[in-house]
Amino acid sequence: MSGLLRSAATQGIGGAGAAAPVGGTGEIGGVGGAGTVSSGKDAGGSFLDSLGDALGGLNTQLNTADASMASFASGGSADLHTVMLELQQASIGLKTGIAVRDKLLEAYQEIMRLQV
Amino acid sequence: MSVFDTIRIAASGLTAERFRMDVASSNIANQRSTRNAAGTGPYQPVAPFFQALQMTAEGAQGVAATGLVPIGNGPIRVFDPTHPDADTQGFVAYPDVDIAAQMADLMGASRSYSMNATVTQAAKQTALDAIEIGR
Repeated sequence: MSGLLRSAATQGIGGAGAAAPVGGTGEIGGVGGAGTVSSGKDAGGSFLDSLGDALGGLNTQLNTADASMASFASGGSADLHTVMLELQQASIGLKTGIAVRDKLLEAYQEIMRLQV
Repeated sequence: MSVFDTIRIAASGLTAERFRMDVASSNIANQRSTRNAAGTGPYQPVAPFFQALQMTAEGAQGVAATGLVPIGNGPIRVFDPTHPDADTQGFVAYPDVDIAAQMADLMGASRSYSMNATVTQAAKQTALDAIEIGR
């Protein structure tokens, strides 16, 4: 039954993507992917896996920003705006990571407060 | 990452406008250069040309500077026999730099740079708004 619901949901999202004027690529495809993952363990990696991937990506971003900042400071060929944008991207990534962390902690504390 | 596509496209615009300013700066700096870098003649004023560059799977395009084209009507010949670069008839070839056009181009490039910077600000604000949804 849950499998039926899942495939129906996935198809529904896919259908909306196909009907979208941009051709259902990118963002809308991403929504479809997220729906598939959250609808069951058998659909792919666990939530922790995805979280690990996201944190790895965040680390890469921070390292890139760090490297371009260092390159700029030591008189490298990097443009000022490139450095600033990379710093900005890392900052946005970090804020996203923190928002996710806050959500996780919140959920954990909600569960710990459950009366048994 | 698709969140940063707008920023990447605007960054390509920033780089392109910086290049346009570089070229205008080069033309203005060399308005009286009677020798080019190779020493084969007067400085040749140039203009950059740009090409759209596919940057996202959806087809949004950034920009890249493709190269330089020579501009102007060829060197201006001025009679000055004492000049070290004067030819046998005593004429010196000066680059045909249209200073007014170069200044206008410089202003245009500077304004376009600001516009691209504004786009990055908007993209950043969008991302921060998206994070706020989760709060």
